[in-house]
Amino acid sequence: MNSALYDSVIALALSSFLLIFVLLINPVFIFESSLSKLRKVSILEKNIKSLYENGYFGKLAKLLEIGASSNEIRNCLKEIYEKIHPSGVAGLRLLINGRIMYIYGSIKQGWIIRMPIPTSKDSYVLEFIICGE
Amino acid sequence: MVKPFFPISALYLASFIIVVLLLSNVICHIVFYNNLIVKLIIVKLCNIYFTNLKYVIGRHSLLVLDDVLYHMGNREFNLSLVKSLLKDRLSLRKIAKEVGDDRVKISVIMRHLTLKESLGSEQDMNIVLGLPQESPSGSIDLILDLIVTLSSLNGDAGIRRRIKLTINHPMRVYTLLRVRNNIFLMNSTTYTIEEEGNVTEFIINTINRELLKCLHRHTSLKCKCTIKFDSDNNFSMLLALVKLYDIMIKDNFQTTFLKAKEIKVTSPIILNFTCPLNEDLCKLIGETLTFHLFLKKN
Repeated sequence: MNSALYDSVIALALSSFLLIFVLLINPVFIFESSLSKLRKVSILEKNIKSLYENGYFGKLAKLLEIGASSNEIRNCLKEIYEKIHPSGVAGLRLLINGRIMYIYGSIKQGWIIRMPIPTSKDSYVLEFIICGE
Repeated sequence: MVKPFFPISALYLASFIIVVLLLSNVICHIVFYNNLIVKLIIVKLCNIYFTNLKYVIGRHSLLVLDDVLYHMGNREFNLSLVKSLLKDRLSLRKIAKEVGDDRVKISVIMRHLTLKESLGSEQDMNIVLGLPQESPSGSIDLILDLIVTLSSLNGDAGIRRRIKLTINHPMRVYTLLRVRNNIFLMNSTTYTIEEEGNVTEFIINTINRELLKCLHRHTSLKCKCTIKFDSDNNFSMLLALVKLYDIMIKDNFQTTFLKAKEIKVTSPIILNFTCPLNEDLCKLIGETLTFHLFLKKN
């Protein structure tokens, strides 16, 4: 066999090996981390929208407006937490005039989404503590 | 010996270049799709903030509308003034700042603000805001036409949407205004005292009957009434000058936490009663009587 043919065979073999290697790369494996974040945010979006449409935030605002007892407010927070917990929300925090008044679940980790609740009396903010980055 | 057509290094180089190009192409695709997913995540995150924003704008607008209607109820009621006060007091920029954070930047532009009479229907937004689902007919609908932009802080992904938020205030403003107009039409009406018996009782019964005619179901009225007895120049007729004032028309249907429930008729309503003067009625001349009236249509 002449050397040119020999070189060509080696070059083709090497190229084929690299091509197979490239083709074998599983895109799901590369995007797994991003896709899992996307899935998490999608579920969170869906659950928050469901809470919004079913009037859970309206109910909480109404209780705060009429000066309901702390038990009623806590129960309402519990309902919200139970609905939203599977989507990665570790805890809820309700602030009144900047001071933490109610906590539900864990607030040690994660990042926060703030939602002000306008009422005619005080300034309320509901914070969702989300697990992970 | 046959000399190779290509030098060895050239073959190796060609194959490596092809593979490197292929790899770089794959890497480009990976980066592209990864960025796409990251942008999708940001869009989804923006959607969460968008839902929160709609809720906060809805609640804020409802409370501002309530406050404006409440204060307007104690003076001359004017819907164009309500609209102008709303435009001044709706602080959408402040809300955008409060809802946004170091991840998402929000901007809200108000295109139009419309006030409209509600025909009475079920509105999903009412549940969202903590109100009964059904909007009463004759109540006021505030329609906000907004352009909302939410984007990540570096501005490489986000959403821009035009939304129409319909916020209903359950006080039946339009119904109360119609009642007020009916009461205005009574102004300067003259009635003849026809029946024999107690003149004061007749006047009060007539006023009650006429005011009740003006009222709608689920509305009630409270006012003060002064009856001043006088005679004409020839002392042949008894004149009773009736002044209705501090008239408050209340919507009994409005039982929510909102404070706007009634409107006032600012100028007094004057009614005249006449009757031929006889000896029994002479003693009434110069007398002034004051009553508190509370009327409710069943």
